[in-house]
Amino acid sequence: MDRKQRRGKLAAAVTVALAALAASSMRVHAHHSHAMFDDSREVTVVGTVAGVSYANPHVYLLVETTASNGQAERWSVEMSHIGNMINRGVHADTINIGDAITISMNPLRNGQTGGNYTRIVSINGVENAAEGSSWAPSP
Amino acid sequence: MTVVWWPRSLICGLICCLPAAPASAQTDVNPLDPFDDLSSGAEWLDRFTTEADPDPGDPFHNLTANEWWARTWNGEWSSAAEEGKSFEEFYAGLQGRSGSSVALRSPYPWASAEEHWNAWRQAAGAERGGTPDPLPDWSGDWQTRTLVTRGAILVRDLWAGVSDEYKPRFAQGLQAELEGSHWWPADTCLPNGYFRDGWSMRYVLLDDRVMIMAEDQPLNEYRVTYHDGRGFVPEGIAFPTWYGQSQGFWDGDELIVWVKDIKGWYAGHGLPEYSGELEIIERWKRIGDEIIVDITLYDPLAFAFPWHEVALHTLREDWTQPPAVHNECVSTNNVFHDESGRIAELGPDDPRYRDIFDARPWARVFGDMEEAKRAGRLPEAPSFLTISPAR
Repeated sequence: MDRKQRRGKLAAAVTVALAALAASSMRVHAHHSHAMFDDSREVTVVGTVAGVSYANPHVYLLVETTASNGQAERWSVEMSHIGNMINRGVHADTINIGDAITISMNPLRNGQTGGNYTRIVSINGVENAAEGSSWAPSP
Repeated sequence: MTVVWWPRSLICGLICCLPAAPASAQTDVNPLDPFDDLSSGAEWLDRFTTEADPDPGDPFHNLTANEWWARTWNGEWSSAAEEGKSFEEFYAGLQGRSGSSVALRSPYPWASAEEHWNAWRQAAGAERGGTPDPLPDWSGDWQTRTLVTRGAILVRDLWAGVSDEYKPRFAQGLQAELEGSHWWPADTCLPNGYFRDGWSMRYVLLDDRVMIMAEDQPLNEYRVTYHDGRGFVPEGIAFPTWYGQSQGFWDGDELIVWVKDIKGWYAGHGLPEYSGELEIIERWKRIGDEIIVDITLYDPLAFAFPWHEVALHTLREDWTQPPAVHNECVSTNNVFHDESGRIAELGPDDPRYRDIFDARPWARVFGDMEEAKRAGRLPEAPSFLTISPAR
């Protein structure tokens, strides 16, 4: 097989490789493994936003809530990086301190009160009309 | 002495029973003028992409380096163990999908970066050297794509390219990723190092230097290549750094760079370690809206042979994404590795938790100092304003 033939045969392989790289472009920006989160479980926290860190590499929320035993709890909610958050409709002014929020997450495996968000259910009573991890207020 | 803690069966699979597979076929490149007939970046990537039939005997299960971490990074093994699966069952279920890989072996005849540099320097000749006038236009925002170091290569091809001395380290890292104990530099806010640098690039070309700024998250990265003939910082005052020191020269509109004094490092993501002996020769050229980089990596300690890599920087439309700004990871990071080596994160009620929502962390430190004085842990020191009141 000469060089031209081989290049032609490899073109499809390159296309596949590039498509795979493009598809993984969100993953490659992750700055840590997510093995600390239990993606087989999802917990939903209803509470008040006590902190917002709108920064790379991860946006974080601090949510104060009351556990079923009546004890006050604080949950650290890890979100994605700013580029992803904007693509998902969450901008710097979308979530603010004092907002009532309902948010779902894969919890930390070590039992601490934190997790990796999977969905914003509602903000100040406005339900999320978007699918998955994107945010769009319902009309 | 390497700490051997991974299963004996996997060690045998990886080290004892490996086929002596060639890393890749030699790729035909004009060694003294590799970009001579090149018209696009896709053509360049094509030249170094190979096809490989799935090998049922591959101890790495036909996984690419990218698949190795991407299919384990959510703690899949932990979930499988909770379901009662054995590790053997779990690993049997991990099978690669890709039939393509990357030509890892350098297509060049040289055994060291110095030989490579001298050959290209001589080929460029005095009449082709010097700083081009005008300098090439590399302005704008560029998105980076690489093949080997972004994991498009089959792990078995990488394995063949790692020296016998470094194979146990590579096996240990691969095993840790399978078990969800990924160790990536950025997870504790350390630089990614040469293997995973440059997500989002900007270039500043001056008469004496080229500055490369990677400004995307999680960390800023910065390199300077001097091309005014000043040479490297002399031995004795040079020291290893994350991205080494670089000198370069222009061959027409192509920039040739020699990088050395790189700190030995590990990037995770299915990739092996490289040593402090790593030296790199790069050749940069803009074609259309792409900057193509030919990269040869010489590491006689960690590699079994000189490696080859390609990078493609694509000009992107401005402001299609949030602007790259100064990024750091320390102020927001509560990720750590626990006493079992597992990646973990602290919740806000753990005493070790870093309060990432505190906008004035220094005020807390000053308050701690005042409290320590009141408690007698620090010597008494009244406010200087009580001694010399401000006017």
